[in-house]
Amino acid sequence: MNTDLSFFLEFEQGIESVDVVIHDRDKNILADIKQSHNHSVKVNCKIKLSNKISITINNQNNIKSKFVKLSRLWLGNIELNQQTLLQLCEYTPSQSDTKFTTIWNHNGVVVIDLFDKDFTSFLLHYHNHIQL
Amino acid sequence: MPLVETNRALAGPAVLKSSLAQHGIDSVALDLNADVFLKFKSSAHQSYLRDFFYKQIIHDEIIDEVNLMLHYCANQIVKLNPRIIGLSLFADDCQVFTTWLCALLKQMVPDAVIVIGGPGIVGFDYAKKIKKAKLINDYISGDGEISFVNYIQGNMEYTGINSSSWQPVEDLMKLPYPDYSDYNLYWYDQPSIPLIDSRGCVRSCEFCDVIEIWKKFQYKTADFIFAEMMYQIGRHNVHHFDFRSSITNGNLREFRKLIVKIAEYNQTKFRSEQISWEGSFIVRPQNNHPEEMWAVLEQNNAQLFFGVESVIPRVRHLLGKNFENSDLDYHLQMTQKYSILVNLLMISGYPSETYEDYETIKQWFRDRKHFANNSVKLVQIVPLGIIPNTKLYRDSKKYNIINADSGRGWVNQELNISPAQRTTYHNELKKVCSIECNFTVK
Repeated sequence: MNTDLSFFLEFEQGIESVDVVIHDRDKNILADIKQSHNHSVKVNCKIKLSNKISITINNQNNIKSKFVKLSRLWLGNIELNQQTLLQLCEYTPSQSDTKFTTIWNHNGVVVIDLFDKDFTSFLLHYHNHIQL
Repeated sequence: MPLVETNRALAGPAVLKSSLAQHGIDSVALDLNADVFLKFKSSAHQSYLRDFFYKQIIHDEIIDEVNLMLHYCANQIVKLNPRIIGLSLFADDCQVFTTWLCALLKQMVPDAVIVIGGPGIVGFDYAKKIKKAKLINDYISGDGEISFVNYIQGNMEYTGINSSSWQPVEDLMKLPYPDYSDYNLYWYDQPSIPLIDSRGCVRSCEFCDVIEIWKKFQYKTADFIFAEMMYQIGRHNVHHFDFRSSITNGNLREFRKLIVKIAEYNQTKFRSEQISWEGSFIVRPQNNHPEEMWAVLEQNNAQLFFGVESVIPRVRHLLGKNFENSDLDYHLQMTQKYSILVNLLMISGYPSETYEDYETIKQWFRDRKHFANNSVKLVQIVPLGIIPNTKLYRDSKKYNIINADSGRGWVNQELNISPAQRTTYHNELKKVCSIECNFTVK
């Protein structure tokens, strides 16, 4: 079963380039985006439910004082809430970063592990409300 | 759509199925609420499940149960390979489950068209929001018997389609009888057939939205209702009927005629083949309901739901019910004398009820405990939730009510009784009724 995955990344001025690579459990690359000179990027791709999707975000400048923020993410028509996004991120933001919910001041990885779960159990597992 | 906490069949899908069939459109009518309610009733986590259904709070303990319910419903639908999926929401309480089910259906059958309708799509601007979220394709407001047919025929300009304005069905008696052939009527606790005998109401109670939805009272004649009963008995061999109107005795002339027909029918049958029915019934002055009417009702095996709301006459008159306590006592005496079962429908903590009233109400029940399980089968006591699109909601400022939008969180600033204090009273009243007076209370 395929569904759309889309998300917004926002990054601070000073970050000149960000690599976003999305691949599935079998290491197939679903999207590979190099973004520069913009403060945000929206990424769209098709993913297979019942799979493990990794979104790797590389801040190529590797300037540790600069932020990359995963601001919004949709699976199909459902937007995951911030609590869910936070749980999906490999790196937990530091205490001083609390004004952002899902940010990295270094490279970050988001893992959407749909393997062994279906769509609704994934949403329920993360206590993700469907907000209208 | 779940969840409606009833072990009775819901009429919506069967009503629509017969309207579609009249125009040559094939459909399958599923009462998914029946299956989900059964799972709900057997769950060890009912309060957690209620949190999900009514507030979308997800407790870890119920994740698997909710997931199972969603997949069960989705699979029931998907295996039919539908082109159009119509979801009927009986009440606002169906919104959370519907949202989740639509999200799942959009994954499983992205090409199927999903359209929602029913009284439950109005509250909280639900229809517009779920359409904007692209979890449904379209919505239909108001009566669906004609508009749903037009929708399927592609007439998207028809009144009520993706619009909050709609036209009520002009003549209930021009509609076909509901088709319950897809339901397993023996699946329910007591097999019964829903029968829509009227729409709208002859009263205009300020807390109720029925009068806002159907501004004109419409009824089916006694002959029409009786013929419908005969048709359904012939098809399903089920003899118990749920009148799904707000009021069975809205048109007294037709009501009296109907109960005479049922009584005459029953006299010719063994008890197992007699008609029985249950429905809402308004209390009226004694001369409207003379004793001979009660004697006929005894032959109907009827169970009546009295919408009493408050036993404080001042409160009851202001909310829109003009009968006196002496009328209510007369009705209770008659039902006891003629062995007619009654459910008393009460609201606890109406906005104009004072602490003094609370004590008077408790005493009213104490003084009538001889009716407990002796005509009064059940006392249903519910806290008042203010429904948007009601007179009470619109007049809330005039009454000094704040938080009217919060459902049950409202406060009448003149009396300053908090929701928590009302809950305390609600529990006290239930205790008085059940423990002190021996009523069965829900």
